[in-house]
Amino acid sequence: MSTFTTFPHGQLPENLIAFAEYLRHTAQRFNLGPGEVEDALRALEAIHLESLQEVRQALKLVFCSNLEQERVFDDLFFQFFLPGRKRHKAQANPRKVSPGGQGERGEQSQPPQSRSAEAVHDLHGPAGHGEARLTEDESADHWAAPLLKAMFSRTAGGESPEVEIPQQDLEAMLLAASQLVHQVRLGRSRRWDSAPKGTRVHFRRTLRKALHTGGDPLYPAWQHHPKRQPRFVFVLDGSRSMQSYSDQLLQFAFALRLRCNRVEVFVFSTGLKRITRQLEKARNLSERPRLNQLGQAWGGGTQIGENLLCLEQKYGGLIRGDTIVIVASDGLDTGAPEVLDYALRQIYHRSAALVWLNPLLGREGYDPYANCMKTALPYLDRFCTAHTPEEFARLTHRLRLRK
Amino acid sequence: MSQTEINPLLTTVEGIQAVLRERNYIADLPMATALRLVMALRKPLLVEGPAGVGKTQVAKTLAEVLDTRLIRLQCYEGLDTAQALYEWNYPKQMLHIRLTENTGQSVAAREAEIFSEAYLLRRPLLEAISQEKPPVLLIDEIDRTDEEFEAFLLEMLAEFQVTIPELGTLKATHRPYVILTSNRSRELSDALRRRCLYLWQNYPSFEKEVEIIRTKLPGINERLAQKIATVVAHLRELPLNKAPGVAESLDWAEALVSLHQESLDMRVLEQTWGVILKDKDDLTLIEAHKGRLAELVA
Repeated sequence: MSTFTTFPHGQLPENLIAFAEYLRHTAQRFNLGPGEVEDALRALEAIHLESLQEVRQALKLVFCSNLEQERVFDDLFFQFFLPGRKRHKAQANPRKVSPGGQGERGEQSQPPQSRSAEAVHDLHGPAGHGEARLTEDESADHWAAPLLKAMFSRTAGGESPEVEIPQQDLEAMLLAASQLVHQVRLGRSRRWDSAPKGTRVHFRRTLRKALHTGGDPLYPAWQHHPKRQPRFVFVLDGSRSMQSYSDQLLQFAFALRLRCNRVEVFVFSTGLKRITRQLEKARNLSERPRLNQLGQAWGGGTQIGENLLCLEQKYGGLIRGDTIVIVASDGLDTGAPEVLDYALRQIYHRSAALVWLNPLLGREGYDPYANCMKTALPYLDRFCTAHTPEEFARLTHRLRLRK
Repeated sequence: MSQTEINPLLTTVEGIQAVLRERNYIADLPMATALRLVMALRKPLLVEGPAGVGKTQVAKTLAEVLDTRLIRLQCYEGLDTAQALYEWNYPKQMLHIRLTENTGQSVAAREAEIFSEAYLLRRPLLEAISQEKPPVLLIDEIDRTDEEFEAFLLEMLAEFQVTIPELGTLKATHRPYVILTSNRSRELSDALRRRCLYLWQNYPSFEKEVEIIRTKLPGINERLAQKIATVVAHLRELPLNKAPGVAESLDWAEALVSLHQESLDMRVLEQTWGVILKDKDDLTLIEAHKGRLAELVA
């Protein structure tokens, strides 16, 4: 990449070509060709070249084509044209917060933290390095307190720590989500719909089209039964015991919501929370998707029965004959098994299929006939575990649908 | 159209900001630069952002500033070329055929008549490319259309010409100023994005929102405007199903002015929630944040 970062080249067009080349090789993969460079040159003619802000805005308008590129463009612009002058924009520094977990896992791979530390280092010079460390340690107190509370309180999560959805390997998860959606075969609906080819003549439209041909129905219009599209309700256990599994589950839920609009996502611990809108918001607005205000739905104990009953009673309308309900939980319930039995029976009768993901399954010595899983097993259409994107993709593979 | 016909103020970014401000539209630097480039490069502008941040309004204001027509194509699922481009007026054609049956006109002459422009129903896209003065073409909520229509739009946006089999190719007399808006409910294709300038419009900053409220409602006192902007900014931080946009801020400010409220307190806030929060779950959520809101309005 170093060959692209050499600046200046002399003439403005050459510099712009080099900048476009530089952008093409970034992680955001700017899709720039000679047309865009030409547009950029014309754009620079239309504004004040002496105004750095206007130049940056003009190039941003021409070179960016989506939000992800727009977010990083300013940094890349400064890195290329003014490498000595870094922007010290106050950035949100999201901490990875596992549900009730120690928080350290996975932190080393979080680029914003290292960037933040780097910015502090730049401000203070080499001598300021120790201070940068201190800043990190101090800030750690702010997020460690709610975590400690979450670990020792049954109704933890009251402070609502932010939960970040990991970005690494998201592409593989998106692919898995697409495969999962496409594998579901629900058959055809009973409704009739207009189609280019079909099994029944659409009488009204045929008459309307006959107007083109002087009243003779030369071009018949057709109707067919459209294919039924599946809906998904994904219910995640966000309790402390699911800490090590939550990253993959959240990432998969996020990917599924990105790939399919007919997805509703809930998270529960001692309370239930619908997070579909937050996932959408994460897609639209955040640099790094994250969830907040989860309250009692994250990081506390586990009350599976009560929460599934709450889901059925409060959001029962979302579970229909074309809905596949996926529950992800380790089944370490503290509630009454009768409640779970009742809730699962209701969901079972409403849905097309009920899938249970249990991360403990496959571990040596794990007995699914203990605790709440024994109650749940008769209602499950599939009981499995999934850790990799490939395993998630196979959740609906050859799944027999009841409706 | 040559640049000389445009108001000289519109040839600079500051000038555009000033002219838009006269029309009560507060444009920040990115938006003003985008409009400058739309006029200079004649490329379509794709504006994305959350609902209620003024994406549609910018097209309306641009049409006012340029003193030209605004032609709007509201997109929806199932929109096809007949509704977006042109359609033959079949009843009128049939009527004409019946009326001229016994006139002795040749078939070719009658056919030429019924496939003339008099029998053509111009829909927004065709209307936009056949204006004497370049209009502003607003293609609103493009993300709601099907991918087929998006592909069709590519040709139109690249060449600004339309082929009608019976009439031939109609080329734009003047290229319209095209503004596309999207709420990102669906990812648009890279091909469409490459043909457009791209602008992400987010919720306004606190200062800008106060300025917008005061510009649109000159009678409002500054303190109340600031309180409104503070509360709305806080609400946008919360995970609401429907976060309030600028339109909601303005509605709320107008409601408070018409209720003769000079300041905000929790009682007034609770009475007027319905203006800014439009979801039952949101109203429940806000109950948990009353303490913080009371601090903000104090």
